[in-house]
Amino acid sequence: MNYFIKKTIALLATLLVAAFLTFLAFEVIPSDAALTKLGMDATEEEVEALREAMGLNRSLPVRYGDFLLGAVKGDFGDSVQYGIPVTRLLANRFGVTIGLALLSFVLIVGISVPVGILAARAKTKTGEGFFAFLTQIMMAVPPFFLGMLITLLFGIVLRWFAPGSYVAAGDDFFGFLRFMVFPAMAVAIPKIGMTVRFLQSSLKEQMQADYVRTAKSKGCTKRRVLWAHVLRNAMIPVVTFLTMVMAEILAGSIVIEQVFNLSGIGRLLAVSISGRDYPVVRAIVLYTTAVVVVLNYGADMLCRFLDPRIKEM
Amino acid sequence: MIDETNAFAKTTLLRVESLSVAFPKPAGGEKTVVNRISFSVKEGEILGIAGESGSGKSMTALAVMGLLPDNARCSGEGIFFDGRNLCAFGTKAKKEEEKLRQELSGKEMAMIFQEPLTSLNPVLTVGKQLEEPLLLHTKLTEEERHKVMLSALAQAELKNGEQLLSAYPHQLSGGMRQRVMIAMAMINKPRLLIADEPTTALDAVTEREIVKLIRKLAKENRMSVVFISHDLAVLRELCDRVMIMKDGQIVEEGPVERIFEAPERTYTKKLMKAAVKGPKEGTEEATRSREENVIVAENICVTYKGTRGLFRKKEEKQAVKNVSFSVKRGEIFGIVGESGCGKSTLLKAVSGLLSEYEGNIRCDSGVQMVFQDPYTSLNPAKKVGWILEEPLRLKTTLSKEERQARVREMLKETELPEDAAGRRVAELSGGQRQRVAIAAALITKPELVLLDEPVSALDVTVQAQILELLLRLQREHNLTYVFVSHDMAVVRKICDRVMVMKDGCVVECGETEELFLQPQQEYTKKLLG
Repeated sequence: MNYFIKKTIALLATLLVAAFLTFLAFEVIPSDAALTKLGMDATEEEVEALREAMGLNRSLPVRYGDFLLGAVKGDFGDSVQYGIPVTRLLANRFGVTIGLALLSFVLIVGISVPVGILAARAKTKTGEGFFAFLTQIMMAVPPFFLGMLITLLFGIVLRWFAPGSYVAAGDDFFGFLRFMVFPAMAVAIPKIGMTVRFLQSSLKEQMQADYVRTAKSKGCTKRRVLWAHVLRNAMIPVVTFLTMVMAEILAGSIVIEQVFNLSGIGRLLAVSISGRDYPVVRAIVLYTTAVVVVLNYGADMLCRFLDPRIKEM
Repeated sequence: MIDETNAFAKTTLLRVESLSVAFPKPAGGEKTVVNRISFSVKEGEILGIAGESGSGKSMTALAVMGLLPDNARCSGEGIFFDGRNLCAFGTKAKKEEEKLRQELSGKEMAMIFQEPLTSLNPVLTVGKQLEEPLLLHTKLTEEERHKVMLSALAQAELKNGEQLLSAYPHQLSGGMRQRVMIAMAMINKPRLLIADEPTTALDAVTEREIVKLIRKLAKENRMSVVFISHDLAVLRELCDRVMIMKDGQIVEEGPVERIFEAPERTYTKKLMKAAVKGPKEGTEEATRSREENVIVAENICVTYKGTRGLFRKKEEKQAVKNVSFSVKRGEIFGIVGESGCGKSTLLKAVSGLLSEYEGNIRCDSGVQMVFQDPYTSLNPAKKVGWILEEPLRLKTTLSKEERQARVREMLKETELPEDAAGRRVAELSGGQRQRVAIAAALITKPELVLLDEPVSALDVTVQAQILELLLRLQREHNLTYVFVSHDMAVVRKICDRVMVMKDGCVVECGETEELFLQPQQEYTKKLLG
């Protein structure tokens, strides 16, 4: 438990530093929020007045405190482009991105683990070659092309879903699933290729370990050796890898969202950057860092549970 | 012969009939590592198998246990355990053989291995692993299993059984881990125990305790043991019968006294001679001038600081406590002690590899170091020539031709083949690798060489050759050695003076022969056995 408390405090400290750096990054960018809002035609006085009104003339620490307080309360100011509070703007988009990420993750784990085990058990040259070929293809296809292929095959040829017909999970959960499973596939397939490879090599390495010989000398069946001894050891590095994958897909995929016409975080970020909508960009960057930090924290906890050798660090 | 006419004649428990094991070579064809050997073990008998690494002794053990690597091809007439053939090599269906194996392994026959840390599953508690043979082979209830586990741990002379059950392997010492392995192998009271170099990774004191324990358990349970070791002293102490193997074949076999006192074959005699024992020869050379001190170390303390986390206090471990010693020019100075006594740490401080220590170290000459494991301390991807040239590139201004001439000279001095320079380290044997490590240390012509267990990873014959080489080089170049080892026999053979360490402190220090003949301290006596 002590470890848990220490890690939690470390997590909060990291978040605080991340928030400060995010804040600072947008202070350094040579751009004036007031000027952006008013356009190039505004007079000196107008800009100055707006700067005063927006609080841009106050000192840096004061504004950081303000930003932090707002962030904790969920207030990131108003979007310059849309004119509505950033929080409200993001709330709509989160549903899409998080739904997509969770569904993709279920696909990744659900497919990679059994396929990885099969791949590790492949003994013949043909078997090994097959899995090497399969995973290579999965990793090599670019996401936008994969998205287009899926839309073409399932949406237009087979007509299993209507492209662009996103429904929110709150309105119709099965409708949401029926549509989202296709973009989720596009997100998941390259990651599945990577995870299968990673798990396969990790399993193969562990199957060579001395303790496997010991287990066999005790009379364990092959099945028992795999499930009771090898798998847990082999999962330790894979868990850390999967966390990175999860962080990546939670940050939203600009390409996949574009192809499937989903309004998620990735697309919003692209639009906000080109529109210099800094309050929105700042909120998304903060969200992304938070996701990475929190997931790493989760991975630490899980690895500690899986591997007793990890002592208090 | 007398045995068989005896009314209590022991019955044969294990009989191996012309067993061969072969591995496919990468270039095609096969390499035979065990070549048509036959032997048997009677009930309650302890059979020792000795031989150098590569003699096929471990492969024989693994074949009996059915644990050969997947690519090994095993053939012969059979391995009979209690009359049942464990593998009929192809005539019996593979599935059936596997089933029979699973039924017998862990119940009737069990095995312990060389490296107890890696042989235990790192992520499972001792309890979980100890319980497994019971789960697989008995129908005991949870409570009964718990009781059996505690008594098995007690039998293996482990205290605090209850606590141990919830501990993980990494939390135990090397000796305790091997005891856990023994408890696990013994838990179903098997009739045959196969021990593959079970004490090689342990220090001298622990080794003796483990050997005693195996003997005791075997006698108490009337269990047969096949004990594999390259350490002849251990086999002599433990076994009833000994079998000497070389190149996959049995050279000689017989009762332990006969083999040790009247070996018939030349190879056995050579092996016996190579096993280092007896005092260092040529003591008249000991009088060579050594007025001058090369190393003077005063009040050395080394404290290891644990890694410090954001919210964690530093943990400290005093590895070396207030140690002073001096080494004279041309002397071979030994430092001995069990693992963890601080001898390697002390050596690191002297060499400069460790800079955080208290006290004074004065070192008057160029220093080079040779490490224990020639497999891991040399870069396997590099060619020998490159490795030998590197110190010259870094420390001298010799031209390329001069460097290569020096490399050739060094290869000759260390009795390595001339074409070795073009080979990669991975292609060399353990003994050859250690020669490369020695050559790399000596190529810059240092006066002082620090040797950290340079022969511990090698088997006896190679050990003797490397020690010969070290002694010859020392004589020819008037080198000074600091020689760290846990092996008392090796130290006695090579060192002029010895310092005994325990828990970071000096226990005793003196001339080798004096110390071996009249140890002053209890601990030294214990170490000498």
